[in-house]
Amino acid sequence: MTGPSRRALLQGAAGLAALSACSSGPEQGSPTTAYGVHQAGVTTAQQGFGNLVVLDLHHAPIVPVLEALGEEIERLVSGRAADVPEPGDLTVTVGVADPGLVLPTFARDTFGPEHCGGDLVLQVCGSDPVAVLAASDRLTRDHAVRWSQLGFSGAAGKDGFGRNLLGFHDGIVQPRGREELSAGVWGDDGSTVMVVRRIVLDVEGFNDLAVDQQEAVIGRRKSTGAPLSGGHLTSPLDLAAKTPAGAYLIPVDAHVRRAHPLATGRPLMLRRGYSFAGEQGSGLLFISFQRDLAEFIQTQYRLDAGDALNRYLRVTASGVFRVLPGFSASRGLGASMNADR
Amino acid sequence: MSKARHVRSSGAHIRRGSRAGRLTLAIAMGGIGMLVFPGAQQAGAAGDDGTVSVRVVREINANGIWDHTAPILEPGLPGAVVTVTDPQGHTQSGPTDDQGQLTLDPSTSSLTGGKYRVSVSNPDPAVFSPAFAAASPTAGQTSLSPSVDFVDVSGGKPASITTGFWNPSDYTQDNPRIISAHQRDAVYGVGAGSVYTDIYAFNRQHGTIANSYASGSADSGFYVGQCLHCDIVVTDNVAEYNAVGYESANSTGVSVVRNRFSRNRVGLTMSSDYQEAFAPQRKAIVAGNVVSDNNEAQTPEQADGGFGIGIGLGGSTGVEVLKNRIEGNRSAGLLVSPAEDLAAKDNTAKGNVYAGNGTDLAFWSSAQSGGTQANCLERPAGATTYPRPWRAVLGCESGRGPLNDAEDIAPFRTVPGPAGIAFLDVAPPGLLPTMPGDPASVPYRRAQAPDPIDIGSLTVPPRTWLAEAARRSAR
Repeated sequence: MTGPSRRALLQGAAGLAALSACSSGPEQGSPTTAYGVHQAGVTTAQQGFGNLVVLDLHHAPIVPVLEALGEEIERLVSGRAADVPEPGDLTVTVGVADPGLVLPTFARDTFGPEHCGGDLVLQVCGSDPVAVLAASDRLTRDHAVRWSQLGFSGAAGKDGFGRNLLGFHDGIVQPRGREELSAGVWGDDGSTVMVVRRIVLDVEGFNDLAVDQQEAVIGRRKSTGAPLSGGHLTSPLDLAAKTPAGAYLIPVDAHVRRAHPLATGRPLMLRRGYSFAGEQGSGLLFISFQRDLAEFIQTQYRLDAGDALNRYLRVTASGVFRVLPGFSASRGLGASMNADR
Repeated sequence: MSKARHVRSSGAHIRRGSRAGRLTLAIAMGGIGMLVFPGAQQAGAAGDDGTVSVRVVREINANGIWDHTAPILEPGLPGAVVTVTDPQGHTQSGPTDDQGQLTLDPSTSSLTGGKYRVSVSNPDPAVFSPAFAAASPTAGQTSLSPSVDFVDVSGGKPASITTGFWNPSDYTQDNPRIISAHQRDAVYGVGAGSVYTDIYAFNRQHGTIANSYASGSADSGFYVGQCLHCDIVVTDNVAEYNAVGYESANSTGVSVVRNRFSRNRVGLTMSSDYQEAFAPQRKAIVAGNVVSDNNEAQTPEQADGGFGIGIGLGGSTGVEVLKNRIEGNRSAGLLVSPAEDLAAKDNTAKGNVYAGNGTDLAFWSSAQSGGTQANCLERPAGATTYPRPWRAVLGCESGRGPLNDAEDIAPFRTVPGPAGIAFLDVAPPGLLPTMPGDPASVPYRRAQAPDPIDIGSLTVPPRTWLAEAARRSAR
């Protein structure tokens, strides 16, 4: 693969960065709408289940496919589709391949061509896994599936955060509020860049470590989620804190240090991943949304160069897509693709 | 480490400049001067005065200029009380509005004469210092006035002033270190064992750090960083038994000359760091120093694992390493590498003496930072290098090679360092030379540009340079 794409390529109309009320995070379980400035399923409060499906269109024209998907999505989430009579908080997020978005090959990539690329991605999320799967079937019926993965979230503890399969809190440092979302997540045209990585974890090997060794690998306490630099679950990391003998309190190769955006000079990406388990192994279905793909790439380079967690993971599927701007009854999902072409 | 760049409430809760507000204000200020009733022109008032417009801003980066376009936004400061005084002591005053602005009209007041003193009171002296004025603003820039200034509005000429207040923690780390070369012309004879950095000049300009000694730091003995147009000279200092002897991050325009950086874990680094502003590290001179035997175990550890390195350039641009004695560093004498997506480029090493280093000159690059960029790193006869052979794009002797060699060079592996010791356990130095004369008689002076360094007349220093200030065991 070629080098990183450093800038988002689509430059749409400016001034659409305002958050839509429709996509700013409904209560879990309540009905959603597919319409808005942005697509649902990005800043939507994370539901319990997510199904990621990458499709091949085999040279079928993409705009009619998107128009049909958009109409079907609105029927599904509003409860008007016969296949999914009770959609609950179902959301569907659609991304398309973009020649300007290319991921370099990273150190722990172990997938073949059948587990990267693809023309289109659907992220179908909801609190009801049955609705998620039924909606996925409905939407992919006429298309070839390249790869897919169903994921689930750990239940939120009393601190409000779930745990991943390593038993640690995850997704704590996130962009919040309009300013951080505009800086790090939404493009000017209302689109965003989506990176998906199926990361198989060696849970058994990790669990062979004593808990304090696990905490050194992650950089947080397993029980409370507090950073090793002190405080509580949501305290900011103090990356400079040291012992009197000069060692970092958060070790130099701790995952949270290597993944922290401060050192990359880039804004914060939004992470919205799911755990998975099954024939493909078990691990993290990493999903991130960012305005500029460089936010992910620079972070992944830092992880490659020195994350203690690398020993316990390999990536078995990968992709990058442009999540199109939001749509409406009058301006369909494919409208922005039409304008570009 | 987080940059505390948030805007803190000024703590001033004075009403806006309405008529009632001015009355309230005058009383609140102790009733000094005349109460002002705008519109009711009084006898003796200079009816033909122009207006006095004052803008008060939050100086964020201490450059003496009102930065009001990205990337640095210096917003208006509301509630700062502006007082205009005439030679007889009559006053007119009011607080700045939500935009930090206030326009006063002396022609409607008791002020006479047309030439007035304008003072802006510090809205919260516990939080703010008056901002510095820029030494040399360029055309189109608004240089900040002092918080007390003078205007001439006679004959109806309007006058406007932009001034600012500065909270050092707006743009400094939240762990300020022991001492800072705070726009003064010199720091003499400072020797201290501190948790992190001994002598620390962060976001500072125009000064000299000289004749000082630093030991026992878990960061660096001397630090100059996050400054554009720093105009700082670091000279005749000794740093030993630190994790790093001298460190610069994101500085532009620092000269480090004729120092002794010996017996640390790392002698000197110049690096780019996105955790602070103004990356990358640019334009610096490192000349005429002794940088030797930086393999010292009896120090705090360098947290990122650095050990046995003489001079390290990380993602720097345009650093010149000239006429140094670089000896006995077990990993590398000079190590040039990328930092994140910033390649090392346009750096120069010439006229240095290398001896007894693990590798005299080492260079690596990364795909992340765009491969190998051109540097001019002279390899003296007999010097050892990584990679071997020294490539055209790196060397000076064969001229500059192609500007960009896309192929990257695998990382150079340094010698692993032993565990560190607590900074409190680092042995104190012996008796240090004192500065000549009576220290108490040295006058305080505002910043002065340091004397220019004549690199041409510098020579490679002898091994014993400044050794009389080093610990006996380290001479």
